[in-house]
Amino acid sequence: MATEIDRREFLITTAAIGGGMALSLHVTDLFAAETPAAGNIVNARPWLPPVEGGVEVNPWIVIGADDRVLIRVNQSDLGQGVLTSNPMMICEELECDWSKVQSVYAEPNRHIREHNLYDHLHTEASSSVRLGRKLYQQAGASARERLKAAAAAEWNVPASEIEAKNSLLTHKASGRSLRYGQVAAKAAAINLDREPAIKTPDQYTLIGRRVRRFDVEVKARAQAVYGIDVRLPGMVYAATKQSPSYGGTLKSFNFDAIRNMPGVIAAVPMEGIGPSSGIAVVADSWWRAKTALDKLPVVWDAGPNAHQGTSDLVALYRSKLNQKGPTPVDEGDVEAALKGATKIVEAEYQLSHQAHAQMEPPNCTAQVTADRAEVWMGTQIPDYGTTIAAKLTGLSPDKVFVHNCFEGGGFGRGGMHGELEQAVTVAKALGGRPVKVLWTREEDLAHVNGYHPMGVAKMTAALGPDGMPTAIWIRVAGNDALEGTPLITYGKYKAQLAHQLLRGFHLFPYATKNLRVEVNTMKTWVPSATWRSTGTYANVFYLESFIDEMAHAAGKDPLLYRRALLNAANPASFEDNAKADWVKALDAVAQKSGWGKKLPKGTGIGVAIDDRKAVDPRGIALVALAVTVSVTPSGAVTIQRMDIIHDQGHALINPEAADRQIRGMMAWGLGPVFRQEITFNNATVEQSNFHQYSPIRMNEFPQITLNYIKTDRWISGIGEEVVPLVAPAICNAIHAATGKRIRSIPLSKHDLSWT
Amino acid sequence: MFALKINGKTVDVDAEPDTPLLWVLRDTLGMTGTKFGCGAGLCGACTVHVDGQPMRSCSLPASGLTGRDITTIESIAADKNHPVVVAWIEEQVPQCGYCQAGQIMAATALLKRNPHPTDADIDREMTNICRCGTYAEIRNGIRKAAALMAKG
Repeated sequence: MATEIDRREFLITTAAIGGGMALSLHVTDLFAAETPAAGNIVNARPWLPPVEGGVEVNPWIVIGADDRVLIRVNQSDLGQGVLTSNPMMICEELECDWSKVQSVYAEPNRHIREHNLYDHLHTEASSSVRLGRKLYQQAGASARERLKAAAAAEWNVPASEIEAKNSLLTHKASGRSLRYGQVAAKAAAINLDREPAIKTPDQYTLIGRRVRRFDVEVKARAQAVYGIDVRLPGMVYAATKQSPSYGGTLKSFNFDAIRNMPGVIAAVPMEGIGPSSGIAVVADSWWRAKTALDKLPVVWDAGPNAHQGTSDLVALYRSKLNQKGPTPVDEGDVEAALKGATKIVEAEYQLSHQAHAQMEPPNCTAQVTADRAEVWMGTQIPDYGTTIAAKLTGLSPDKVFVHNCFEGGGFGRGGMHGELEQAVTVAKALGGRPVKVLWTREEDLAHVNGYHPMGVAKMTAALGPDGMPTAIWIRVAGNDALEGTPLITYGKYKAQLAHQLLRGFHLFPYATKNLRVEVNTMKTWVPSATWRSTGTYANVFYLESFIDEMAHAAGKDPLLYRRALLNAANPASFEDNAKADWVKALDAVAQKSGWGKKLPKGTGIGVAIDDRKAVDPRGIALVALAVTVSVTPSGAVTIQRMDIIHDQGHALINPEAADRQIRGMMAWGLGPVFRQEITFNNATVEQSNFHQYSPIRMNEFPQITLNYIKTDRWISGIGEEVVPLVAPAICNAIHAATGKRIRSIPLSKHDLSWT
Repeated sequence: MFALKINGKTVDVDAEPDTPLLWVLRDTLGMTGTKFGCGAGLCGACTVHVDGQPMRSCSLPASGLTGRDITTIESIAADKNHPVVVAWIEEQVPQCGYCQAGQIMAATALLKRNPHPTDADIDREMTNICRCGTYAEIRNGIRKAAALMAKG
């Protein structure tokens, strides 16, 4: 299908908006916010430095004549504070004056041109510290030693006699000193014989301090430029639509019906870009584009899934629970233990699809000419964005410039690039004119093109005469939360599966001599992708709910039952020091929540615990959660309080930011428990906006206590660790309060009334 | 063409009369501090004040606001010492920050009507969505702003 352009309108609006001036390829925005120049700040446009100039000592560090330090950050701000915490890890070693540190995003184009200069540019799976800490510390230490070497050369003394502190280089013996800004240029030219060792946690003086985030002021003053806020000379706007049904395609459209509507410039069929294909209407304002798109007659081919819905998916997934699946774990003899059981406990659990619904609807601004493509958007993976734009334009990646903007929430959604694919496609059709593609909220919910996947599990346990398990048998069916990554081969039967679906079950926390895990990796017409908490979300719900059921079947206290199973020797489960930490965390959460105290009927406490164990080694982060709920006799649930015990390992980088993220993610976890779910009918999403996919608001946000426990390791992350515990802890609490066992969420589907 | 009074200034707007105020602000006038979140008055990211009342600009036809006093986040944020903005920075409220312009507008309107809101008042009046879950910080921010205002 061809692009249809209203030539008359196109020329008129070009003249009006562009003012007749030639489009610059290096355009600056029309609406420049004022940026203060001093202190711990970032530019309102985070891809630009707050202040130009200075000397690049290494790719991460620029030092100004006035000792200002600019740190280049290779990850994206999603609200977690990397524009501050990543500089902390560098400056821990740099020994500079923290009050003069500022930050900016590392340039994706340069990263690619200089062969992955910044190692990685993606921000996902709570990886900032895990992937970057050593790298950042090394970059800071290396720069510090080169600054010392430059001063040493200046004074002709050994570098070992020079102290670097607070941006000052001092030679005590001779009483001389130089500021970093005075020797930065010389330091930049120095090559070290060998790289210095980096500090160990006991030597930290900056990491672990509660530090104000550099990005807060531009956000609180509404200056921060999110992708949606980018404005360029001559820019036009596009509203887009994809096939309502998944797998459907564009058949035809009638541009003549909207050609004469105000401001309308073009209709662009977007084809060959996978699930993001569809139709775009371009106009001189977004509202005009959207109004015209709503009126545009479009015919869709509903595609092969047109009669599929959530009920079909549930039936398909559940059918897997009645047959043997790929078996990555099979210890002992589960069948024999079941035959000899004093009691058998069985339960089936189910979770729904979820959307991210980040506050900033998907958008991307793009400009494509014969030899250059520029893209403005907030993305979790700007180098992936570069790759996509290069592929769609046929340009080599070094000709693509992705300007990473502030991003109104990532949560995994910010790693998908459907809006970028659309913007580049439309920009190509407009021949050099910049265009901003913006989705409606309805389009966002209907086309995440990577939902957090649904899942089902059948859990079976054989209990011995003492109530303790002699066998546990787990059978799950779910999608890979990282769909598109290769399946792994695991265990003695060489089971093929998505590793996310095995998370936590492969090194089982609770003692049982006989253990079988079967994992069915589903692939359906609903695309799946990562969401805040990835694969552990489902497995923790299944296991932490079921352990509670086992405890109740055994007539035991669920917290003490877990404790006993952690303390019991078991060669099949994971190493002892981590188990000791689990017990420590359970005891701490019991104490904080008042576990064991007498509560009125209708009130109960539930616990859950997990450490985010991945199948590929990446470290762990231990979290325990106790939730106190009250349920009215008519079944209305109120969360009274949430008590969190969170692993801090050797150190949290910026506890101020950690606190806020951990508390905040309780809202993320509560939404799906209360009412959020994505369902499909005729392969079409049934929830259109926040009235049908309704997140938690202020009046539902509970009182939270947050305490850290120190453990002897680096933790895997803090960005999503508590999320999976919210649902099982609440369902366990509801059982304690009412005696009703909830095995699927949202709670809005269940009658929780009691007498 | 119709005239609107925004942040004390009268501006002529060239847009269809039913264009929502949000899009007049963002696209026609280039005032991008007010954010688009849902387009249906459900999330509050687009909150502005009309005659001092918090309203959701995504669902207000702009031409119907002729003669009314419209205040946007640009006006609030331009005041370096605005108690709510200062409190938001002091309490380090924003995470991703996208909803915060709307939250600040809602909080400012609340504090104007009720300089000493209780937790129940805050629960009732602060209905904007934040997906990062900054609700505890927003509550602290409102308390701090109330204290700053009381000090004068």
